[in-house]
Amino acid sequence: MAPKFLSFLAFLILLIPAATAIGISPAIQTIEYVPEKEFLLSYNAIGAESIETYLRGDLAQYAEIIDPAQGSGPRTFQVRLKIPADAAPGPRQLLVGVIEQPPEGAMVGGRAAYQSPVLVFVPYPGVHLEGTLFAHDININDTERVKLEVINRGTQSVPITASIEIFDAQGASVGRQDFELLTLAGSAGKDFRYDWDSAGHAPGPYFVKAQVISPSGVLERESSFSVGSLQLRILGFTKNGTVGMINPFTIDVKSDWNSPLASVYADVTLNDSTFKTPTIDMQPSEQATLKGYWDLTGAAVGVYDADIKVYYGGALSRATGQVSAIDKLAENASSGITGARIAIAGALLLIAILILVLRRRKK
Amino acid sequence: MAKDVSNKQLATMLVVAIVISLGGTWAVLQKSSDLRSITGLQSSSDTGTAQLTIETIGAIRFAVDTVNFGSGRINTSAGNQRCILDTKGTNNSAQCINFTAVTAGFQLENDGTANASVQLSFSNDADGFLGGDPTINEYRYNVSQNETNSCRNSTGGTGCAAGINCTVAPVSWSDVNTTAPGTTICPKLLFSDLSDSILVDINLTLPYDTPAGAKQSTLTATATTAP
Repeated sequence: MAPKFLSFLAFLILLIPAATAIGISPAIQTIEYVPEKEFLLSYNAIGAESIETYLRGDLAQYAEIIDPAQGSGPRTFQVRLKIPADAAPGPRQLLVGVIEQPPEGAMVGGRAAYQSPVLVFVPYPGVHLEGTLFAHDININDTERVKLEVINRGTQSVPITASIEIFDAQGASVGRQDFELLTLAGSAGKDFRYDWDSAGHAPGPYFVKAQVISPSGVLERESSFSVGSLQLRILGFTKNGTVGMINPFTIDVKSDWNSPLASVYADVTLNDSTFKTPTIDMQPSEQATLKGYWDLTGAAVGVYDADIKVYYGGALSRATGQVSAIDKLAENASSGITGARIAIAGALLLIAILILVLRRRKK
Repeated sequence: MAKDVSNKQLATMLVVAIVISLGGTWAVLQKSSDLRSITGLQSSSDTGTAQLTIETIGAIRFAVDTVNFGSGRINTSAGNQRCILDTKGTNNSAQCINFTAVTAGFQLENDGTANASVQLSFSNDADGFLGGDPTINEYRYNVSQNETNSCRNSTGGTGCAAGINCTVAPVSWSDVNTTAPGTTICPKLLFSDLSDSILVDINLTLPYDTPAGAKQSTLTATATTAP
């Protein structure tokens, strides 16, 4: 019985983590700016046995912690925040933090703290429009879902019209949507969406331009995306191998597909010998290298015809060319000749400089 | 003691129980016509609202939170001016005597449900922590990914955006920062379990005249939810 109990105890001890986490919930929150309004925010401090709570950020001076158990374990506490009437316009934040005690007896000890931001946006006087344009890479015949987010960070409402237009690589317009006039209240936002069907359009890069027109001016935003095609381009492959050994043989490939490609591999034929590379998975639009091995043990020096077939997503890309099987001694000799040529050229240059110096001294 | 129940009595009780059960079932079925109006069919145009709140938790932990090089001394008799120790195993026996080799730095994990930026500050610098000749003593650190791509740049990328907005920093040994909340060592530490961890290694240069006694320093990692 005792051994079993001890084993169980040891198992329980193993389950105890080396260090506990420290945390806070909620991890973030956003509150609306209302001058002089008081907010009572509740938090859960979690994890460590001894937790201190604190406030930081540019709104800390307007807040206080209500935490009757400072330094104790996991608990609930509150923060009272009174929004100032004269806060400067723009993004403001209060950081509600929890911090653990450092470990005891360590030469260098680490302790963790976590801060939960309370975000408050203080509106600008008048009208202040901000916009963000989103576009994502798609594949041919897919629908591009463009989104324009517009928010009025000002206090006054404003009438706006918006448009989203898509251009191809040559700058020609391939689609446009105009949105009806609407009024955007102070601190209010509006999303404009344009679904563009890529069917009938060529793969490649596209550009998006969005305009928001209001009495206060024109807000422009730009973005881009690509329409992918299920194509894998062979950028290059090994050109030389040394006879008498097994040589690595690499093939550089680039995917034009905006989705992952699984199980990509190549069949390589060099005259009569054939080998296959291991398969790889490729990320959208990724450039990668397929690697196999070219066995030239017992092969003759010479030029070989290369036929490379790369298989991917039910399709095939093919490249042909020539590769050389060379002798290592010849390769070394070749580099030796090059070195000798450089040395001779250097010596001639030195002699020429010496002659020039001697002539000047004679004068 | 109560008298044992005979088989005959047991059989009688069983039959009675079966009869009551069947009778109850029959009675319920008889009444079921009254319940037929309760179905899954919507009987009016009232609408309902299903509300669901997903709460985020911000949490961080040091999976490895202590580093101890033990006790030792600088090998000045061999003419050495310094002893260099770090958490990547550096502990040259020609310079350092008796110190423990340490091969694991501080491991910091995002244990929450939100991505977070991380800043790091130290309680003391080389003079305050080690003392001795200030032209020799050094207290430095560097940061690396523990799990691939755990730390992203502020726009979520895995490299440097615009040449300055990078992932972990500093990647080479750098002097510690003692001003809270410290240096941003990771703009966006992910919370996904497979990639939520970074390493902080430290490097100490103890000069020949380091005062004897216990040395202690604390590094504080402050995580803030990344909006």
